[in-house]
Amino acid sequence: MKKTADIVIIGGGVAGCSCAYYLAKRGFRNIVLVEKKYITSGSTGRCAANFKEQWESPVKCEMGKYSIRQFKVLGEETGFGDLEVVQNGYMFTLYQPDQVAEFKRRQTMQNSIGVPTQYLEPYEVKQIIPQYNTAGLLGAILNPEDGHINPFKLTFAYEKGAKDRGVEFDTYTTVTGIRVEGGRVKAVITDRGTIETPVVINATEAETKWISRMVGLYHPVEPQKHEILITEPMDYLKLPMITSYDQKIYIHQMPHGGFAMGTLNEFQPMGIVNYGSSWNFLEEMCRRAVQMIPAFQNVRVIRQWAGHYGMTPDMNVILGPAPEVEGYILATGAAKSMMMSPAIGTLIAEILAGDTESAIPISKKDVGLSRFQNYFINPGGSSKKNMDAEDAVS
Amino acid sequence: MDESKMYLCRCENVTLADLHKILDAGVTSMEEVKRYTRCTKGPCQGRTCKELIAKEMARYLHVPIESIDIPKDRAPIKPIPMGEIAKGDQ
Ligand SMILES: Cc1cc2nc3c(=O)[nH]c(=O)nc-3n(C[C@H](O)[C@H](O)[C@H](O)COP(=O)(O)OP(=O)(O)OC[C@H]3O[C@@H](n4cnc5c(N)ncnc54)[C@H](O)[C@@H]3O)c2cc1C
Repeated sequence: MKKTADIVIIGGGVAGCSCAYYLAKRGFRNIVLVEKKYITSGSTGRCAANFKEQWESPVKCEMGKYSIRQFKVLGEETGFGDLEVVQNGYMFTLYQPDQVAEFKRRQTMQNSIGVPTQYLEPYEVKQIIPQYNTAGLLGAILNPEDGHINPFKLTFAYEKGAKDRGVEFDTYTTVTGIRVEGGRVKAVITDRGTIETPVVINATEAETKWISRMVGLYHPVEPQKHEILITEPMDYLKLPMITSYDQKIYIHQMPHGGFAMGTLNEFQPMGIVNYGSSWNFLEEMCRRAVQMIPAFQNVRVIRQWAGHYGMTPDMNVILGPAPEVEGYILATGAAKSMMMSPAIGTLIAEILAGDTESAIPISKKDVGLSRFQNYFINPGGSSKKNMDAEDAVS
Repeated sequence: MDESKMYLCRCENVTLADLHKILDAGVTSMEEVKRYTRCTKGPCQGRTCKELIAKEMARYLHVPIESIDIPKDRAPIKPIPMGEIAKGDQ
């Protein structure tokens, strides 16, 4: 293990590995990534593997668009090989008049910046997904460019690309403290030794606040528990991913044939990490899925698991420095580290390089910490009231 | 025997040769083997392959089998139709 570095990245999930890759590609040297378990052991290895570029804000749409372009070249660029990118689309099914109005408003914005979302009538939904129970359905929004990528392969590709450019990966190494002197980061302390460094990047998404506490700061990122199940493999139908805020469910068929579906755990308060999975989730999810697509009746569940979203106040990423401690940088995904990982790595490299221009047409202020002055998420508060929050479900 | 024809995990087509290749690259954790190969993630959920893989890892790496981090069993253990689960207690 190195004793000194120019940059230490905490977290071997998709965000940390993306930062390692894009920083090294950009020419930064002497980078060390520290991970307490193995690569993909956090939320990354627990996610539903979908990506999208249809969002409620232009900033997220631009990051999504950029990321999708990168997904198509990263396999080759890193020398890793196929990343299982498929674009079968992403559909929001809508059951409330105000949802329809809101998603149509978004569609106008999305179309204006090149995201080709389309509005569908219930009969059109039925044409695309004949198994869908359209009772009570008012309409749907579909973006055919959204899709799926294998999150393990994506992360291993970043890891390979970073290692090939000299980044050191220290797995099974836990960060226990960060030494700050005179308002500057000096070193990262781990259970396997200390690494002197002027820069540390916190890429732990759901666990962000505990790392920030090591430099004496609170950052508004709270873990929220989500549960998910997968069925036995079925014929691959190339259907779009389906999400309903109303029925609080998303369903997505993986290219290997299993259907993944999930939602948040309403009963666990925000703010804690607990990987236990519940029978309650299994029963509720099966009820919702069978109601939405009755053919699921006879499809067997083979496994369930749980993970955490890192919730931020506006559910967008937090990228950039914390002004109080020089050299302390956040690379927090807000439950989209996976699908926005190319944007995260690229923006972090631009921020550290001090670029004024960006490969992504957004302002760094839109993703920086300064937008949350005086904001505080109530840890220990109910997850339930967050259910209507933007993408608390999807 | 040809190691690339000896299947350890039949659901996900993982062979003895696949496993040895990963172990030769320096991996010592079964959780990691699972992430690289999908072994134990198919319909049988490891009921047929878990012990086989753990035993082979212990043999190949010259470590006691107790030191292998065998992945957790995940509910519902045996595949159950969603319609049955959805009925709940009724
Ligand atoms: C059920 C579920 C479904 C999801 N579905 C999707 C989806 O379809 N699409 C999508 O884009 N996103 C999805 N997400 C969100 C996505 O999984 C996360 O945004 C993403 O994986 C987070 O990546 P990360 O690298 O930021 O964090 P993680 O993958 O959590 O990595 C952080 C790492 O930091 C390490 N760490 C923490 N503390 C320390 C320490 N003190 N020292 C050393 N290491 C430390 C952890 O071990 C962990 O490996 C889903 C999440 C869940 C839970």
